[in-house]
Amino acid sequence: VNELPKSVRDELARQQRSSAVHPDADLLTAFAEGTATPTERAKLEEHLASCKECREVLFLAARPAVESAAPVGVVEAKTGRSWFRAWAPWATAAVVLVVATFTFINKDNAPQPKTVAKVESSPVTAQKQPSVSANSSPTPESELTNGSLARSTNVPLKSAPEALDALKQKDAKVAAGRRDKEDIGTNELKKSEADTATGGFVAGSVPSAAPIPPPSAATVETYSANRAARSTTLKPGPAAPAQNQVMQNQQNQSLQDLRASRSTEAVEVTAEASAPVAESQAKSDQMAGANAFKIDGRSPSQWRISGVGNVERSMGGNWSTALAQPGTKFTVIATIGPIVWAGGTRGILLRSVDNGASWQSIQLPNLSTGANSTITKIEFRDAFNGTVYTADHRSWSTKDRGENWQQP
Amino acid sequence: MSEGQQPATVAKAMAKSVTARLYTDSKAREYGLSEKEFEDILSAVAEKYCDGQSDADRLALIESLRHEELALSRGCAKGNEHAWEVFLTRYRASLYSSAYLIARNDAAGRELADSLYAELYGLEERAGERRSKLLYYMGRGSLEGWLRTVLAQEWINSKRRTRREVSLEEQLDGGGQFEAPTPSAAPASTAPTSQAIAAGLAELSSEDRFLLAAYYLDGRTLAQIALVMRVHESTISRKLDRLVQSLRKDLRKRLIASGMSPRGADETLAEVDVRDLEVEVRENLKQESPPTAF
Repeated sequence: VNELPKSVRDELARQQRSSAVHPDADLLTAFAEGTATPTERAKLEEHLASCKECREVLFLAARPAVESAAPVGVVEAKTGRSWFRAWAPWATAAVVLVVATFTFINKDNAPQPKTVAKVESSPVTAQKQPSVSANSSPTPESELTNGSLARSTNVPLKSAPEALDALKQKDAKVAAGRRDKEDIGTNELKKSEADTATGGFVAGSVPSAAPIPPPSAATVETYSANRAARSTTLKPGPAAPAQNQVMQNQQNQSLQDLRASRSTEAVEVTAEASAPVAESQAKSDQMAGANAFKIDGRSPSQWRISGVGNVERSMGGNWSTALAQPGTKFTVIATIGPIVWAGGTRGILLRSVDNGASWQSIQLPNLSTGANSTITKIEFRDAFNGTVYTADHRSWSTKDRGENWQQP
Repeated sequence: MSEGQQPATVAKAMAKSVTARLYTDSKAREYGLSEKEFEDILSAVAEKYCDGQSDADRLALIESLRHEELALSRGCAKGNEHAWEVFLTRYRASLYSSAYLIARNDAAGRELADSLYAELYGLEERAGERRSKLLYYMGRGSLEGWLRTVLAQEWINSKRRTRREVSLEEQLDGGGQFEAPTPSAAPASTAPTSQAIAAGLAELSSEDRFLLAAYYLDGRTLAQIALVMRVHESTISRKLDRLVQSLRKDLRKRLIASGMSPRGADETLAEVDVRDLEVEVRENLKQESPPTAF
């Protein structure tokens, strides 16, 4: 940032004066939370420009960055921690499997008659996940039990095919569970379609029996990209002899198949890094597959977009559909105080001034109803001033809570 | 009924229906408030912030309040047990953590939070009744935000009090009796220059002056300002850059118009005043290694 000339800074300092009358805590809070009216905001800024004490109060009371919610209308970035936590044992097991296989193959080609698989594993992995030592030869298991891992964990060692079978069985169970969830989600979608077929907005109806909708295509794409960026890369081992290349390829192919089958699992969303693990897990279970948005941490109710494009609200933990419209998928939601904005496909823009109890349709001027008119972003600086963006990079701004809109 | 009376009656009826709905939504009954009491609270808030404004504005303000938190605070002020249970469950932890963050010291933070608790419960007695500080909460922002603001105000007040209360021994130990008069922080510049700069600053919007004061006088970071202004910090950075550039251009024009030479204007608007430079000539001219004999 450019430096301010010293003479200007001195003049600015001279203009600071201690006022006898200061704004009350309510107005300062309203200013910080963007709920002050434009007139109040202007007056407060005028006062704050020359009152050091009130500026200090304002900045001290501002929510620390770690606790603050994302700016209004911006999707909160998902952390990879919970994902990593869930998959770390599996990745470790896979690495152990590959290393053990290579070890055994190399030993098998050597003149020594006996094979010993020695695997070093971290204590955490040993506690959480039964580690697997792989062996593709018909050597009896009793010959492998003299490894340090077997002594420390008392886990019977398995051969590579057995280990792969075990992993596949576990994956099959997970996949079955996922299919169940998908069935529930499909039923919910049908139910929602049946409800919306009656026409009109549905406000506060369809109490959710905690169904888990399937992730939308966009959600899966986004999370797949994130996952690819975060995923632990399994480094290939040392170059194997030519005669073992085929076996190595087979093993790698099996591991890749396993990873690929897992990659379609439901994804976790909005798990806060600082939240306890149990709470994070419960939250991710509840919100799995939904394109969730956390808008304003100060609001008593939380809002999100469900997988089928409905607006959902949580009042104390239970999510229920707050807004659904036939033929419209809502894509973005933003709250500022009790005012809630929801945007969706075909340029649909709705506003609620009573925390979602009733909704008004807002018509943006000169907006076509084509595919590119989907509302992609809603940004409100305070209750009055905000901007709405569409997929074709057009934007509309308002200065009066959405009564009038201007295009740049 | 005359035509003038009709809109007022309609507005009153609307206000009545709105109040009834808000009374239900805010759970005011659970916090021990009657509908009449709740209506009085809303009227008082509208009276305070919308004095002389239209009925539509009053209604809009009433709709924008944090009703549930307002009812909760008034229930607590009234001494309702359920309200206090909810209040403690919801705000106790955040109140203490905010106090620690403000005071940046465990003991001082705890003391700050405890003193506020006492005031929230109500120590001050008027006509034999406790008067809780929660009565001052009007629901314009969140109750949590209001509590943080009140904590910050208390902290600033306490700092100001302790600054004034310096014992005589401390003053003497600190060399107070021989203290030189403190030089004025901002030496007055020449009148035409000062007037031109003051006029240039006066033409800025209040928001711009607030940004300048927060960044250049208080030394707040871009992130802190962005948090308060509810925008991204890069927005604040761009805004400040543009603001300083345009202010510099504007002031240069003003100074030249007031009769100053362009070079003089540039010197006046230099980032550092040459008179403030303390050049250590001896230190700068001193050779790094001592001279040695050939």
